[in-house]
Amino acid sequence: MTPIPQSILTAAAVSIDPLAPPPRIDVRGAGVTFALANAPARTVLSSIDLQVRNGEFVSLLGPSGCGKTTLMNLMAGFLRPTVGTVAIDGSPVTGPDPRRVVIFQDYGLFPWRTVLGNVLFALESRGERGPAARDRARHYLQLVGLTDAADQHPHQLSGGMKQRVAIARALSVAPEVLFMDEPFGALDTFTRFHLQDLLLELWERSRITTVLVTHDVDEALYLSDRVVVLGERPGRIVETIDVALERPRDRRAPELHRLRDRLLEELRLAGRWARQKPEYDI
Amino acid sequence: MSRPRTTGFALGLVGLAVLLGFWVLLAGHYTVEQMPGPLQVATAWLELLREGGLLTHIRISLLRFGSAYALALLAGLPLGLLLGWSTRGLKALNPVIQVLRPISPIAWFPLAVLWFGVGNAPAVFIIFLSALFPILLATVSGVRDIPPGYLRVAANFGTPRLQLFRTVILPAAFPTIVVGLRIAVGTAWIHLVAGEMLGAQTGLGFLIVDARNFLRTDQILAGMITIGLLGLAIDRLMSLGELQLRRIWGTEATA
Repeated sequence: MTPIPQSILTAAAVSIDPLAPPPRIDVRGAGVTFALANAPARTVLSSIDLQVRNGEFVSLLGPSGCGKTTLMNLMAGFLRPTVGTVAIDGSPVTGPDPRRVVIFQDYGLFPWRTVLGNVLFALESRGERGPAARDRARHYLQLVGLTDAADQHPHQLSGGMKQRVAIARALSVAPEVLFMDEPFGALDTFTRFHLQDLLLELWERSRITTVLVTHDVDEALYLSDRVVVLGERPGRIVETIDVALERPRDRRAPELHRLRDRLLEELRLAGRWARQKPEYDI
Repeated sequence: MSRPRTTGFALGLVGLAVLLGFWVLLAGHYTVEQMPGPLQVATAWLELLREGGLLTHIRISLLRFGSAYALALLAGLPLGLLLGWSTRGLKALNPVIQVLRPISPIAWFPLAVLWFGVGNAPAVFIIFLSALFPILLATVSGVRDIPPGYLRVAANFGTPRLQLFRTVILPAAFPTIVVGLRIAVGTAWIHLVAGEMLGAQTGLGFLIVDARNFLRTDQILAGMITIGLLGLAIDRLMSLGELQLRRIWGTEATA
């Protein structure tokens, strides 16, 4: 095989369709291999091609260990690909950036700061202080319905409230892309549904490009424009499902259930597959 | 909830009573010069308080202790933050720290006198040395053990370096640093007496040396008890502050 410079590949791919709007996120041929000290190198992700349009809501869905979080970390700049390229708005991603904010499952709140202080942290990081910053922080707390909790500390809040603080903090810097790493995974069903609806409401208002990492099939379908299904060993994209369903959606919509059946089949979680495949091969 | 507290207090009283009992027995066995009884020591204490300038000695000792401790904080905290953050820096300085740390501050006595003469400065230097290492080492390990999640959030929002140290690294490492601060208070207070034996003309350490020169064993014991009680009071104050902090952060359960 003759190695071809990646830049030429990218340029060629873009020139194929000059009329299409450039994707906000552009992942091409990306792979991640971890070199291990006393073991063969482990390929976590392999030949990923993924384009996310401006304003799109995309979910990365797959079992634990399929590399979906790794893929998100590539796009968010927390990790560099071993091969391939990752670009946002046409420029290569070289590191984390406040224009692309990640929301973590463990909320990532600072326990020594109040709720308001946690939101202010994001604004202070870019030099915003004083009454204007406080007003801005309060505005975003109001958006997530936490006006009354502004002076509390994180340990006084429920899990759902903590995640709302993290959402307010992320949105306060008006990012171009929002990444969420299993943000509702630790919450009970009722809280999860409420937060999913809150997220949708905020997303519909801002149409911010959103990439959600999840292992929850229903969550992926209910929220996303597109569900990217990842497989294991090595992590790779096995299927992409468009959820062409009008918003606001109904969780009970039959169309969602048809897609759900298809996904369960794809992930080998349904019927004959579920009974055939052992849960873990050790 | 008050029951365990009161029984704890009562048990503490029992312990003190047993100690007093031994003391009385011991005092009966020895001469007054060798081992005065509790009553004689109490009298000596009151005498020191009224005529011996005990309060002045206490004030000066606390001042020395406070300034030496503040210096140790000023040096140990920033250095610890830097070494905890920079793996290279730690690798470069760790051998030096590990060689200096086991040297008892008391072994520095001759050098302290040669460098600083007698009086305030060598005492402050000895106390500073004894407080420095616990603060420094706790700060280093506190920074190294910061949950990476906090740093990822800061990296994501592009927090500038100085602000990162002030608003994330320092508070995130603080629960560990506080442990070092308390240990440092203990060791520094222990070395206070030693430091004040280096030709100082005031302070609780001097009080004991002076009493020894006049064979006033009752005053020696009065000075020792004063030092013990003050040390206890300082430690209590520290732990109150620590508890307050943990209450705000919501980590009191792990305290």
